[in-house]
Amino acid sequence: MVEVTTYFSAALAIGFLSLGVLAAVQWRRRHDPPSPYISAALTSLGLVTALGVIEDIVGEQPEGVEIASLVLFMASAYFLLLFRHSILPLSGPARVLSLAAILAATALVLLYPLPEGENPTYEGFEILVLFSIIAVWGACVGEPTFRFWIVSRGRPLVQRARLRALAGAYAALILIIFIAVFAILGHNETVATVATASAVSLVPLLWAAFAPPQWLRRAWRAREEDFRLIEDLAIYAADRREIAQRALNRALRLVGAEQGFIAEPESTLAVEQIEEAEVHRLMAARPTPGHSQWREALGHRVVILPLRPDGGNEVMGIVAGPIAPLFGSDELYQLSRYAEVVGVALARVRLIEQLRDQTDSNEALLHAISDLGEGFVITQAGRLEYANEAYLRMTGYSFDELRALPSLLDLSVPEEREELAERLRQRLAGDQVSDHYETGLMKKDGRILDVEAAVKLLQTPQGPRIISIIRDITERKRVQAFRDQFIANAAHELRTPITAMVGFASLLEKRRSQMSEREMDTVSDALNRQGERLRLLVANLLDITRLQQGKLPLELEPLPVNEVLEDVLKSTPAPEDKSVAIDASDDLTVLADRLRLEQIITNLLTNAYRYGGESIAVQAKDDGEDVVVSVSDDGPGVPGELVPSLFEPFSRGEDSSRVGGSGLGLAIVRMMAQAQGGDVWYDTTNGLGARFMFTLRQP
Amino acid sequence: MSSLKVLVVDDEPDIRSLVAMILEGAGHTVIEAGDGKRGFDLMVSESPDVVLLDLRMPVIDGWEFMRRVREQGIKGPKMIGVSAHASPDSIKEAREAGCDDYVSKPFAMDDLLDAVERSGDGPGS
Repeated sequence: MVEVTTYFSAALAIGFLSLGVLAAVQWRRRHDPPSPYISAALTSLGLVTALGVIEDIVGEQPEGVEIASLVLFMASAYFLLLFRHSILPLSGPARVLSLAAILAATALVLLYPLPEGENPTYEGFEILVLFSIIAVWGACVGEPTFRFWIVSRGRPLVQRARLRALAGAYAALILIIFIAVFAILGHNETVATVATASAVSLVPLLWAAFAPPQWLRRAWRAREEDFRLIEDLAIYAADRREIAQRALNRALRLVGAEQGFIAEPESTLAVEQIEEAEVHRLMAARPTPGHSQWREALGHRVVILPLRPDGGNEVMGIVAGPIAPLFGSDELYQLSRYAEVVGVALARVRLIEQLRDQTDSNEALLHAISDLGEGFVITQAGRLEYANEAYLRMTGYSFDELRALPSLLDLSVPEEREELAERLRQRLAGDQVSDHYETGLMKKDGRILDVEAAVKLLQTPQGPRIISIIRDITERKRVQAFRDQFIANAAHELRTPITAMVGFASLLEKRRSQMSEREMDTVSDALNRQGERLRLLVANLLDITRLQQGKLPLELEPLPVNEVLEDVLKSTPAPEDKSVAIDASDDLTVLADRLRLEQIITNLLTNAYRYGGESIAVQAKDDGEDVVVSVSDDGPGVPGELVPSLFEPFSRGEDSSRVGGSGLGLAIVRMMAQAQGGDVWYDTTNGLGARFMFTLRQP
Repeated sequence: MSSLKVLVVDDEPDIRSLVAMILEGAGHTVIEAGDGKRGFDLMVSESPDVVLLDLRMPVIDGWEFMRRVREQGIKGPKMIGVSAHASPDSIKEAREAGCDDYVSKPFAMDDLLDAVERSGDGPGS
């Protein structure tokens, strides 16, 4: 009679075999590496159980069945170990050692068969053999049980659940087998029946653990999804890379994967446990961008999800690993929905970044304009809206003071105000008005600045605005006025000798025959004098022009002052009625250009000859820092009203025409002294006569 | 054409002797002054027919000279302004200051003679 226990054993066998077949089918469908091992292990266990059932029914043990059962049983242990190895790799020696133990235990059983028959009894060595089989099997299955559990600790939720489910499954297997063995060995029929039935009831749990169904995966994810709202808020970070990294980590947690990336065609935004180069290779290997599906590429099993609903080029890639070997369609759905949210977040941040870049560059532009010293003003119907620092500095007003004015036109000079107001009206009406003009600007302290304005009408969403760039041209105007005056003076100075020379020349031409000897002498003297005057004037004008343009090359060298003074005196001796005394110590040296220094001294001496008294003194002294040279005389001195403009070009005293000169001598002296790092001035503290002083640097 | 008595006021000695030689060669009498102050004194004491006045001089320039002429109501001599500035503005200014004629430097001999003799022909105003 077939016992109840046998039915349960048969159910157990069917359960194992079904699971084995299911795992094989799964492997066929998805090429999941661990699946073949679990399929082989469960099939082996199923066959072992099935053989026992056959034995029960047939009533006697066919030859070799016992051996096959044992081999299959031990093989299941090895397959289970390999399954563990495919998820948490074993070291080489550990694998060899465990295989050796399994083979040894199997060989032992083959060499010393266990007793057969109903209720066999074990004695001595047989107990040792039985124990070694159970110990080896128990070790091969028990170690992964603990290992899975230990590794699960500290992992993200989904990974932890998967690993613990595997630990549970292994534990369940051990439990089933031990119960089954207990049932076989037990002599009580009722106990055996209950034990076998409970073993059968554990089989579905095995399946749930090895191939978690949707509802279980959802349960595992549930707590991750609870964080979703909070994390979505956290996604509003300012930086794309930061968002990408957070989003990727979350996506990995969501499905229990370990490797992944978020990438654009040209760059990688975030990576986790994968090399960037590998990401680029994976991206390049994609056959069709924007299509999410599993694929095997470059040794990875990867799902690539577009981050934008329109299928743009940004993608999130999740690489399957040992702990998350497979993703179900529900997980893919969750991932793709999540990817869209991430895509929106990234797009939003990209917009913000673009806006910020633009704002930054606008501000940089405004600052640059300020740095250039140009005033920059934005007005609405004349009233100030924006003014940069340069404009505030220029006007001397604070921003608030300017803002309080009904119109910036209040700052323009009164006589131009009406014209400017009319121009503003025309500009706002859209008429063509000149964009550039010069005008006067009244500073807060009442001074008037000459400014050049560049003005443009700008249509903004808030209405028309006028932008103006204001440039202070006071200095330019001053320089221009100086130059105009200089040119007018130079022209005037040139006209006198030219008038005289042209006049005398034509007089000679027309009246030579009627001229007396005395008249001829007068004419030739005048021609010589005016010719020399012209030559000197032109030479000085050229010097000044070169000095102003900085084109006069200077060769600074240490020079003995005494020697230079003596040289100048030799080439420009005093007139008969005057005398020059030089007072300079022999060791006094200056750093100067010889030619230019001689010219300075010559000009000052010539002035003294022309305008000064009878005795002229030239002194050089070391004032501790510079060398100070003074040229003084005992003449009438420079009239007070001439002193302020003494060193300006063409400033001359009333008697100058009688004594000649270009009017440029002192201007040249000043420019040359300054070019050599010194200066020149007229000493007003000298009571008697004139005293000019200049400084030169020491070597 | 009669001989004229011409006063030349100029701070440049060579220009004065040039003008003197041109005018004397044409038969006129020339008296010279090197500055405005002396020129004004000579004009009052010598009563010349024509005054050739350099407008740009130190101390008392031509403009100041003309202001004094107007102030003191001197009507005898014809006044001819001489200057290196030949712009229409300076000619206009000279006329407004009371000059009857204007000669710009550098001048051609004939231009100077023409201006002096033209002035001398007309009745003193």
